[in-house]
Amino acid sequence: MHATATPAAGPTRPDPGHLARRIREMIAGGRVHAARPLLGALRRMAPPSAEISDIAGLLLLREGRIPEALAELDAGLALDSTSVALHISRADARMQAQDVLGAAADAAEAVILAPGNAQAKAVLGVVLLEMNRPEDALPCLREAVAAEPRRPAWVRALAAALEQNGDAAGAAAVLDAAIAQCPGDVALRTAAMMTAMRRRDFTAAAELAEAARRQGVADACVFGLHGHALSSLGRHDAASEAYAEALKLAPEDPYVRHLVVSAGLLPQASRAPAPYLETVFDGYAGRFESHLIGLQYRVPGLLRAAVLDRFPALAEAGDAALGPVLDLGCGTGLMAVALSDLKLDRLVGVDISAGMLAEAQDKGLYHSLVHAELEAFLARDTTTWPLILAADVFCYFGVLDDVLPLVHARLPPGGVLMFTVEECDGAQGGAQGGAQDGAQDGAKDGAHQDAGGRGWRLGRQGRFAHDADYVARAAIAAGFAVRTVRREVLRTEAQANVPGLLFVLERVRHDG
Amino acid sequence: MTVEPPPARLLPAALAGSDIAAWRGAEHAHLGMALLGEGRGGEALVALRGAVAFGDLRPATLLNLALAEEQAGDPELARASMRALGDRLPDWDEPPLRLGESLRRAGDLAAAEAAYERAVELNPQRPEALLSLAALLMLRHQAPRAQMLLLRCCARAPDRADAWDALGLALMLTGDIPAAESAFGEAQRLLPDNIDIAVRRAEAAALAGNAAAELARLDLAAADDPANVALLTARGVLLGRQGQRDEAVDVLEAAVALAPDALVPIVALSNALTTSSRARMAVDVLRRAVALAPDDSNLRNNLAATLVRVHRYDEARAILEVLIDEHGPQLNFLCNLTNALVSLGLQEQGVARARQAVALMPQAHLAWRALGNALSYHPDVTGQSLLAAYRGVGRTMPRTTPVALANTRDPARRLRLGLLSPTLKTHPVGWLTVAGFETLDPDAFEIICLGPPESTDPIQRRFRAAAAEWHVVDTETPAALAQRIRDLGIDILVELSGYGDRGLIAACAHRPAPVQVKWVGMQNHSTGLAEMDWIITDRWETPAGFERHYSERLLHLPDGYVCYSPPPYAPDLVALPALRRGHVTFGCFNNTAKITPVVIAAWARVLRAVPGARLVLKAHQFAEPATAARFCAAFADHGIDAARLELRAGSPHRALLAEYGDIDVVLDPFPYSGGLTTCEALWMGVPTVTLPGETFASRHSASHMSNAGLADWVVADLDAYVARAAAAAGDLAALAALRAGLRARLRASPLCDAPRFGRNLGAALRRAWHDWCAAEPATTTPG
Repeated sequence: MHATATPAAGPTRPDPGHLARRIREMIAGGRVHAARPLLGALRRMAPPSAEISDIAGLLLLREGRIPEALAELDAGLALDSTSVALHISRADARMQAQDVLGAAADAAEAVILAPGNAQAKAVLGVVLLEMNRPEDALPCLREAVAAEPRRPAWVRALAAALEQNGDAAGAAAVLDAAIAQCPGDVALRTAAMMTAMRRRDFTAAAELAEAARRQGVADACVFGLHGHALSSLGRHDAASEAYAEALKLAPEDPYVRHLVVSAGLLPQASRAPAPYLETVFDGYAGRFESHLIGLQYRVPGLLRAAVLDRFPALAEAGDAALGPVLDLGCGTGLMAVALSDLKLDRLVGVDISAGMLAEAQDKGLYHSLVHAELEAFLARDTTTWPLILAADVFCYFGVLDDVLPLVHARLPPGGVLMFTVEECDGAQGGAQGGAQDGAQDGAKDGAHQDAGGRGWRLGRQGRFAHDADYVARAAIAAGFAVRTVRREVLRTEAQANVPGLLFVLERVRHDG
Repeated sequence: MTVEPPPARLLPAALAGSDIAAWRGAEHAHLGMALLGEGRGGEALVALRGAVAFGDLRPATLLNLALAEEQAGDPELARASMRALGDRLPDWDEPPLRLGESLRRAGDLAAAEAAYERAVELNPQRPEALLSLAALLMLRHQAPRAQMLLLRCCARAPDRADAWDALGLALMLTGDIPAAESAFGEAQRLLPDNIDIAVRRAEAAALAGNAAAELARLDLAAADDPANVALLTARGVLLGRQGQRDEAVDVLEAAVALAPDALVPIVALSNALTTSSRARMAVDVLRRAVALAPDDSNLRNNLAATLVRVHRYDEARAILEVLIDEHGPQLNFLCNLTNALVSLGLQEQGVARARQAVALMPQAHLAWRALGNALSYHPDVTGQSLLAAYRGVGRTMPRTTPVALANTRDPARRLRLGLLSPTLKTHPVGWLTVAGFETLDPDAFEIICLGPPESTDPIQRRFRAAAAEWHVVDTETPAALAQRIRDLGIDILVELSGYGDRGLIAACAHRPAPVQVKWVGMQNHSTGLAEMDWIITDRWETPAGFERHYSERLLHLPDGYVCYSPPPYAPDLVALPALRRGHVTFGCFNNTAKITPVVIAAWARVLRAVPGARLVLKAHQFAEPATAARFCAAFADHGIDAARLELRAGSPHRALLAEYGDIDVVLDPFPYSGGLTTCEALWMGVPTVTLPGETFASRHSASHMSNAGLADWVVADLDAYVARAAAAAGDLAALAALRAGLRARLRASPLCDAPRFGRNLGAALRRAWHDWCAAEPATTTPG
């Protein structure tokens, strides 16, 4: 408690070289709050230099301050335009600033300045990949990985380049070799699994996941992909277990949670969460159509037939156009393709997935596209649509009692809603008559859950199925008359038909 | 250090020393003062004596001679000279001031105070005297008077940073925190590089509720002066206080990098590392701090406590024993030493130290906690003796006046269920409870966690996902925490940390919730706390008749009292190792605190009964060679050759689990049995022979084994324990078959059936709630 104060720092202050090394270590360890004040001290101790600019640039990049990092690196290169480190750092910064061409220039400059520098080659390879030039990226990444095979990020880039050059087997081989070298690197494992799954080699993907588990890799993504692979192989019980493990490791992830709920391991919600749908469909967008074609997807054709049945004049010569028409959950625009020869006035698509909408946009068949959650869109929309289509959309809703009135409100008297649902008591194993379907799969596995008197159930793949009576009740309650209800095969999955129902509803009650 | 001559007006003619002070005397005096100023007391003494011998009898020379005498090792003589000089020059303030300093150094604070008072009386405006007296008064709990003197001092010498700094300290003591912040601010303006002042200002700002403003100020100041260690240190301390621990550690590490020899940043860094559970790094930093300040007993005690956290018990014990030798038995030293001794398997010595702590401070709940925790491992513990120790904790726990709780007595409503623990994460508490909370009916219970700061820990993430709210419990006092729990409207509070390191149970003594329940987390027996209403248990932990060992009511679950979540990275089962090795390997992966001399004797009997068998013990403690050697010697005393023993140190969790691949049968320690350890062994295919006693901790394995359908591994006495182990070793076919199916069996058993457990837990908690709803509102709370 004696009030005299001790003097400040002792005499052994670190020298600039030592301090610079400490700062680099701290930046590499992500310890920006330690690096920042030390950099301030370093600037007081030493004159401006390329090295200080490089350190400052790295720190700013770590802090996510991209424009400032670019300015700092520019300043450093003004002091020393031959600094390979600065060119590499600026290539990184420019990539982050979406300046791919600038990044390419820096990466190329770094390679010219230091032809033996593996990092420069790797950065150039990554930039070229980003520029959709996998054939040019490949040699850079090959050389970089040959020089330093224990760099997982470079290996993943090399695998991507190989795959984009059509050599999926080569991609798998380099990933396998890297996994052997860096068994703890989760990103390598997931990259290898994704490569296998893109080849539709689900057996290989499942084996990769199993090997990861045996080697002690506990990662939500690995378990989640394992679940997908097993599910695609029809091994739903094992998939459920994998999803349950994934959820333990990513308990806040709505996507994984929905899959576990679908597997019957947690109490179920009455509809799929929006983040789940966005995740699934954004991730799916690029290969959605080929996937559906592989499943012999029939829904757009079925709805086209229903439209023509109801509005035969649309296919005939003359001016009788119908519109505007709303395509709910339009996805990549398959419905628009199916309807493209019909005389529709303004076809508008709505979807929750930006990735899907980008694919739909490319088709050029929609008057406009809206990125929105479906119910939110309907609630705020003021247009009156004589025809609304919902192809394979209500399979993401359990309860339809809320969404049908929203659609009803957007139809004029006599307006028509056409949609498909998967049928409750169909091929996924549900017992007839709404009885407990556990009888078929064993009570404990909880693989999927019965309609339970509610008229819908959540299936193992994360989709809901409905029974016809329930849909009809909900439709009538919302103010519709059921004009058509027909059993149809929607697609083929794991060599089995997926049964569904086609509904045509007409707005008949207008009392709100 | 040297003194200036008194003003001539104060000197009587006899001492004015004009012609009698020969020039040679003055020269010697001059040299002596210079040497004194350099701290070369012995040489100064020679020179000043020379000056006097040559006839220099000037007061300043005589006083400097006294100072030199003190420096050279004769303080008594020095003080006598000062007193004599004071008597001869009663109006000169210098002798009493120097006398006060000497007395303060000698530890005679009362006499020092009187001397300083005299100096201030003689010269009421002299800053040095005001400052010294004020500092002493603060030590002697007279802060208001110190504050008054320091205000005078600051007015007289406004450029003295030390005066403003001391004024800040006095204002802190008198409780005027905003004024203290201002005073430290002024001191810092005068001495911007001073680390202590900067830190004190930051702490005052935090206490005054101005932490955010002070942080912003420090940010700005640091931007202008990035290499200023004082600013960095203050910022780091403040960030730590605000719970931004990672950032605090980073900033303090930067401060230490810039000023490696400054003590304050190193100590602050060690505190930040300790509170952010980075004990290993904290140990390194504390070692550096102790090297810089080897006489600081607090730092050495902190080092010992942190060494315990990183399982360096032997080293911690050595430090604490030296501290007790040097400073006598102090509560903190004794409690930490108890912990270290018990962890080393020296239960008898640990209990003795704990009893010493209780005798030293019978009103200190920490002493009783140490006793309870030590006793739970002691071979002679009984249900009643442990209850008595924990009742001691309950009795001495600080309490505030009970506050009326506003919870609505509606039996059916959705309840706000509070989980209170710093270990809602990867920890036995997490592995054994999280699945139960995940599967509680969300329509019946809303989970509110009062837990550790957010991290990416996978089990903490599971708690977070299950919880409706997460409140970080950090540095607040138990009373403040209790008020926060009340403000959250918690209906049922489940306490999950007990009397362990950083346990939060102290908040429960303030009755924050109408229904308070003890569950996992140092749940080694009753808490002995009158405010703990229930303890979650099962029929194996507390069979009929065991109620008398508990101060709580027993909230029985129909299956086991916990639900085990096996780790997703657990290795696959391997075949029974005895089949390929040709001999049986017994194992115990429990920490050595549980391994008593009685346990060692029993294991020696088992090894004698099964010729060729080996015993693998695995515990962090075996990393210390002295501990490993002591255990080998203990077995040798029972005729067991060291070749039959393998003592393994700790390892990462997956590697630890994989080592069950080497074990055929687990031998449980007693009276503190394995808890999570037994569950893990089962998951890895290895059954445990267990001998339950009266305490809760002694019956964990009995509960888990029975719950897994393996009650035939639970035995009644030592003979049966040895016989059961030998029998298992004698039927390898049966053991191999059991092992092969054990994981599947466990997965299907109530021990791992989370949905079933969640339903049972919900029903039990609802029962406790109904009980409270049915009770009359209490007019007083028990205490």
